[in-house]
Amino acid sequence: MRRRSSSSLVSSIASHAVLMLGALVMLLPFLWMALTSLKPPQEIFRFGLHILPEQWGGAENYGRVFSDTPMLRFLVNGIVVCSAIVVLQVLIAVPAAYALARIPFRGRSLFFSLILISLLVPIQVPSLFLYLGFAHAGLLDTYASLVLPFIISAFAIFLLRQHFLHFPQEVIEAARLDNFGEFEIAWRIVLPSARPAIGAFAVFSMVAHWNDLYWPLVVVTDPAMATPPLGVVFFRNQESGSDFGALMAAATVISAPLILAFLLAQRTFVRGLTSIR
Amino acid sequence: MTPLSAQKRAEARVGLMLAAPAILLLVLLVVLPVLATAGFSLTDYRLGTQAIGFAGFDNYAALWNDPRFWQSVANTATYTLIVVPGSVGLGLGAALLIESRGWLKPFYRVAYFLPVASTFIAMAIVWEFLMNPSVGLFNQILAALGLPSVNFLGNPQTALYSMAAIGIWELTGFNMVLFMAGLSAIPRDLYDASAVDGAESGWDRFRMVTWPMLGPTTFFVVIITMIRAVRVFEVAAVITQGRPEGATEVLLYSIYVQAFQYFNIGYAAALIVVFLAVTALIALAQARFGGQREANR
Amino acid sequence: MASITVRDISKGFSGQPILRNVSLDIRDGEFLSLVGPSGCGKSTLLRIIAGLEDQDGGAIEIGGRSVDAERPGRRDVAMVFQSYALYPHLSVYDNMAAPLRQRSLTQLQRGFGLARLLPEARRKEAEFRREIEATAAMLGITALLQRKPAQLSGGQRQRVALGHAIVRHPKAFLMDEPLSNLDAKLRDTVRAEISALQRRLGATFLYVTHDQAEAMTMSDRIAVIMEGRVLQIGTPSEVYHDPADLRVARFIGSPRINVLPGEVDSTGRPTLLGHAVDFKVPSSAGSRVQVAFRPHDALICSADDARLTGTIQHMENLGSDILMHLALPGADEPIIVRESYETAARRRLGDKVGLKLDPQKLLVFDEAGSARLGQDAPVKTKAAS
Repeated sequence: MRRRSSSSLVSSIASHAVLMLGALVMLLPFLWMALTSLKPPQEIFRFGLHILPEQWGGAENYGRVFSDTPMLRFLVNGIVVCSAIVVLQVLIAVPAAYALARIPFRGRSLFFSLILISLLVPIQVPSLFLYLGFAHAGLLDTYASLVLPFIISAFAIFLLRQHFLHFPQEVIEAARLDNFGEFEIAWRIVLPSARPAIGAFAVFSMVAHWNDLYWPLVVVTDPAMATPPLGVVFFRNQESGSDFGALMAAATVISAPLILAFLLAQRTFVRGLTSIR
Repeated sequence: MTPLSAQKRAEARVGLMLAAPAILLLVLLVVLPVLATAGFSLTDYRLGTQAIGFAGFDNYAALWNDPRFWQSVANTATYTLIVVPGSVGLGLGAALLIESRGWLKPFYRVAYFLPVASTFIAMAIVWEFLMNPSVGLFNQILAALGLPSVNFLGNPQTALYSMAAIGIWELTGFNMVLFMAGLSAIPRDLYDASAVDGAESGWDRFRMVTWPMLGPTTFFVVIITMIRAVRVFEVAAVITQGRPEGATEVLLYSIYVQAFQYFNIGYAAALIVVFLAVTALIALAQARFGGQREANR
Repeated sequence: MASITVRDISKGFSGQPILRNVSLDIRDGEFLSLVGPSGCGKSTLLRIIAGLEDQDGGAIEIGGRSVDAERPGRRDVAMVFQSYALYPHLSVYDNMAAPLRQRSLTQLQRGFGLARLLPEARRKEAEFRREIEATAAMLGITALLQRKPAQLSGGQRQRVALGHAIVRHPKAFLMDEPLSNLDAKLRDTVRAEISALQRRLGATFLYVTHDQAEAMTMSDRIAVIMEGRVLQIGTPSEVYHDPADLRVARFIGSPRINVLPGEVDSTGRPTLLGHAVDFKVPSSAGSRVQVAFRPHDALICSADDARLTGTIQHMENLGSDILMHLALPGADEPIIVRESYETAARRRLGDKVGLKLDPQKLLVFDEAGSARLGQDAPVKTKAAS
């Protein structure tokens, strides 16, 4: 017995050591980003290993981010674009998913097949045609071009359809006996039950579009229309590797909203981001 | 005429109305662009030229004969072959270790998942800085240890592997969370049963219960990771621009360059069709074998 | 409260008949059970009465008024579902308030949370509150009113489902296997409670179950349904003691009834396994019959005193009684006889014993089992023809 418990102590220490090392690797870029953003240039370029900032360079670095780039504008663009995408996705997906799950209509199975096929098509596939379309319509460098391609989400429709499909039939029948109309059943009984699923999807979609670089890179050249990822890329190219402190400050600023949201609502985040199951 | 059947017909109209916006947008934003792209791939369309001519399979023939295309395919495949086992294996290992440790579990979970919830391009820029040949942390450490410096992302020998390391860092936490969900779904009784059947070491329990019960999860995680790995783009597009010597040229970056920098629409369309075929194949493998796995349980 | 009339209802699903010309009269204030094996059509009948399913033919009247063209919500019946069917996002209070609000508030009053602002709606809400609180007190769920269904145990959910039905004083209660999701012990308690509740409310209850014991213990009358037909309607004691059909006799009663094949001899008496029984049946000589008797209507005696003999194959100890399973040569299944504990204590497995039957208690059916023979045979219910 004694031997067994001492060996389990050893294995416990060993696995914590491995996990701690792993956690350090995972967190290293975040730590280094934050630390560097607080260092003055001479410390960053000084030879040798220095971890903590010795002199305060934070004000200068963050000041440069906000003076040399329209950083606030990037953040506002990100919020506007992501919110518009999520709201429109939900508004379009909810009725469609409800119809797919609960109302037989002509062409329903064809529509559902299209949804399933669309799940396999990443944005890069329609991007060429959509770019030509937006260019032709003079909509490059606009919110419209950033938002429109994403307002139809096959994934949202699929996810919500599954949810509505598994809503218990007996509850709907009970509602009919309670004199609920069919519209009221949808709106006041079934839809409220989908709130958690919609919430999880909203988190998933927010994160995906806040982080998306490909599409903004295609349709936006005007820094005033850049989303945060594109903004930080512009800033990087402009600095061309000379001011790492300010670059790390910029990276910190655009990562901060998601990281803070994640730390505050971990459960919702993990559920949302893994809802692709 | 019963009241219900009239009601059914009215209902069907409502159903179509509710689905109509989604159907319309799906056709406009997905179906039509995909078909049009397939169409473009058979033309010699370049942005700026007046006439569009039918080119048959010329674009595909050009692809076939283009060494850059093959390099891009090989790079994407190599990247995927490193990132998938790397991030799936580390994700599984982290999940198993964390699940067996009550203490500090929430901390580990947050730490490993943080890369998933962060803005990847910002972190890619941080990685570039960490890997910087002169002032980067890694080379500072190498120098402190008296080792020669390595130009991780600038040397054709190491660039793709450095990119893959960043990819593993990005995806491990996500896979870990999926594995943790899979682990929590394994009934405790099975571990008791395996103990009664003589499983004594942790390895026995893993071999007899955990691994077989995680089968469907593992399969799913592998597929998801493959799909994500094949879509690698940010580091190649922003940090390395495919350099050095095409060592980090990957499929999506080739598409981006051909389509939106050279405006070689026909050629880019052919690349997109190839890319779609690759992702569809992976997804079909999931549908085909994933369904079977579920049925066998 | 109201009576329910079911006239000639037929229903099929994709060509498969589920109900074949079913007629029933449920009296005002009566507790009537629809009992039968699963798939016999009893739930479908209940759903047709509620309006959740359309009949192919026939008519339904509730309180003497045809409801065939009425939506479920307008038929003024309450239903208790097997899964309880509570609104998952609403509190117990709001679950119980839903039918009241849906019935007596206008669309405008109940939509958009305006109920609080309009004086008329506020007056009604106060009424609802009194009604809900009284019902909750009666069912002992007052403490649960602010909880969500997910926070309740199975038994509590069951009570809330009852409350949801009771609170609006419907014309009739339709119950679809409401106890089958409860564990055995709780089921017995709730069974008694529902019976008491029905007497207290004086309400019309139509109760669907596959459990004959439930039907026997709770109902005023039982309708036994099989293969889409009502085989018999009667009080629990009628269907038990005077089954009109061998299938009814086999379905009702636990332990099951014993059945032996027989043949009518030239004197008009049936022979069982070669032995004549002192009992005349109005059937021609040579015709085959089926003779049935309950486990408590037979006696075990010594093998020498009886013409029917067999060996003890199994003894099932119920505590006060023992069920003896006898293997009779020529019989397809063992004969079950109920004996008191004291009598059975003398017997051993493998003993050869005799079986005595009381001719007065024998139930004789024709070969197909669909008609009773003999002087005591009851007149068959019309609906079963």
